[in-house]
Amino acid sequence: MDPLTILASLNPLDWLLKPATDIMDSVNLLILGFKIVVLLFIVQFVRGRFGGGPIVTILILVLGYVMLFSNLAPIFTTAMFIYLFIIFGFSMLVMDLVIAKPWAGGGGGEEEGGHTTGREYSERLAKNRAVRGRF
Amino acid sequence: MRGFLPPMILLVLVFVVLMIIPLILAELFDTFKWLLIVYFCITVFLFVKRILGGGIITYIVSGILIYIFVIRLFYLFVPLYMLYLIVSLGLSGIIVFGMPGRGTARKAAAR
Repeated sequence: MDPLTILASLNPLDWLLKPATDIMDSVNLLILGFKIVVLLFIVQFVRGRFGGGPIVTILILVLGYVMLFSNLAPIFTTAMFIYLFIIFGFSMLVMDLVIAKPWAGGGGGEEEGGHTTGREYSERLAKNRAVRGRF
Repeated sequence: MRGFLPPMILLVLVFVVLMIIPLILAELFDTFKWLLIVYFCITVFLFVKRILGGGIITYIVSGILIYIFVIRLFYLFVPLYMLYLIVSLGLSGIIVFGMPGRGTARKAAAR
């Protein structure tokens, strides 16, 4: 077979682009799933406030359109994302991180009266004695 | 390892390991993967049923969500669900406050 035909049948561009297209497919699917979940939250919110009925269904459809497909969708989607983060309890994680400050080497420690084991205490004592003995 | 890694990196590592443990188990044991799939199907169905009530719409929406999250995005959904479990059950506080403190890191560095 002609080498060029073999190369064309392998289609290296497809090989290069396949992972990217796969990732984009996954991202699009994720966005679709997220939109359905947001729609479910809208349904829950509206039904919780106004009960059932045809007017409520129209309200759900209008709100769903405005929050998911209109020009304001990015704003509402971001707000919804933050709302979901808060109700799933991620704010508690952020608060814990702010209190514990692991990026600063963690909270507490010796300066604020952290624990000292007996072995560390005796080591420190021996070091102090050695320093004192020198003078 | 304790004290030699910066606490923030250690914290992220702990979270990542906890998130991918079910994935590793699912890769090692096929039965575990099917158990996870069944569990997530039930979870998604109950989540939709709680909002929409019983009915044909519930089955359709559950089917779509199960297809997206459990079948197509399984390897993304499982770690995210684990993270959700860790955070919502309050285990994140134990992990964050269980990290070695400033004193421990300094002592380890001094040694």
